[in-house]
Amino acid sequence: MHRYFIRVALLLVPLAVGCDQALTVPNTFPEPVVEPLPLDVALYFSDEFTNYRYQENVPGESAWDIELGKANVALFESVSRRLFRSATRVASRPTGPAAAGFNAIIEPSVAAFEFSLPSQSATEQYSVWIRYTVKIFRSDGELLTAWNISAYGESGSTLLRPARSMQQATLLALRDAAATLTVGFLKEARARGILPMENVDAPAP
Amino acid sequence: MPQRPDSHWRSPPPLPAGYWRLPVPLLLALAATGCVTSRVEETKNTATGISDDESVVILATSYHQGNKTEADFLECVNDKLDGARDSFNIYPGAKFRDDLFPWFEPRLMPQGIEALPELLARPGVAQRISERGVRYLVWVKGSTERTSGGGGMSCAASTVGGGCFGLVWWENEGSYEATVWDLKKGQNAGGVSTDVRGTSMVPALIIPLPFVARTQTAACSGLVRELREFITQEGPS
Repeated sequence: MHRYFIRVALLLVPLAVGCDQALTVPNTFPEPVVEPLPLDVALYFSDEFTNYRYQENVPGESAWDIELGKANVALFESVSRRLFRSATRVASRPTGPAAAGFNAIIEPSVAAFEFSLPSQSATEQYSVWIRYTVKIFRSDGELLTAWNISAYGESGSTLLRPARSMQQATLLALRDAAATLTVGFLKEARARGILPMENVDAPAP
Repeated sequence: MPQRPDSHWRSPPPLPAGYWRLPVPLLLALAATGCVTSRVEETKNTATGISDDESVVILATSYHQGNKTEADFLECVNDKLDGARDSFNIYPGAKFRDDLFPWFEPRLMPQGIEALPELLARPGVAQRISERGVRYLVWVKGSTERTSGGGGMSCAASTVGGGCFGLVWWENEGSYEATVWDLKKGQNAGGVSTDVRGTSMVPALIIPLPFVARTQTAACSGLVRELREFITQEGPS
């Protein structure tokens, strides 16, 4: 869309932009095409993670309210279903005999969420950065690693539909995180001794 | 002064009612279109061709590599290729990315044909591609940018009316490349590219009249026309 029309439309935008922008990120993700790792894992999602919501009031722009919790859970469940021999969601982090059946306990959290609007970046892109911290515990409760996954997504601006562009950029960032989780877990598992170095062929690039 | 011989004068046959309405949309359409010039090029490395049970996937190259291909441009290419009567099967790019997740995500997608063997060797990847009958991957990169512009316009309004005066103009340049990978042969079959330049203007004498060059649409049409020929014509160009 040409900038002349963007300018004309911008005259109309205050009618729309005065409103808050609220969006829920879609929570369906494809399962990765990989050979499962020989691991039985427990997935523990904290309340903060499952109800994660990012809110920011951009000066001179809209207030943004991005609901990410359900998408967070769907992302980790979808990847884990295929990446591991078995993945069991648990209500609390298992300890003692309850943890004995698992090779690892995975607890992700959102360490940071940021976005930039076209007006901030002087481009026509909405950009989203998400950083997850994935804590991996041994079955005896020892923390093996706090693995940081950085993800990025961007989407072109859609005239008069900023929430849709932000939603698309966020979804792409989530898929980026899923991709990193899929290809990076084996390396992390080997480095932390969860898997022996020669156990399986790497699905990673 | 000679007189016209009335006896020989015949009035012309009457025109149908509303005759003046016919050219108006045509004139308006012409007036509302700016000037567009385009150039298309093709490079073919190997013979192509496609059968009825094979399909083509159109994907944008990664934004991690700085590509800014617009989503609506890709949509235009997909729609025009899919909608043509004599065209081939198009497998939706979004579905293909889901089916092969995560290997065609921007972070992991192959950056060159040399990465293809490694990708196809991954468990399940070659099988899924084969099951879907995908023969060609078309990688699109490029974008439409504003290259120059100028002029000015001022508008005023009062209780008795209003109007604008001035001239605004701008020039857009669309540059796109489509690289075609033949997955059956595991080769880069070549590619097509298009460069389109469009000049638009909005003169205003009381009422602004936009003459908008549809640069991106012209680039899409040019690329699609060339791609269709590239894939369906079997011999090297």
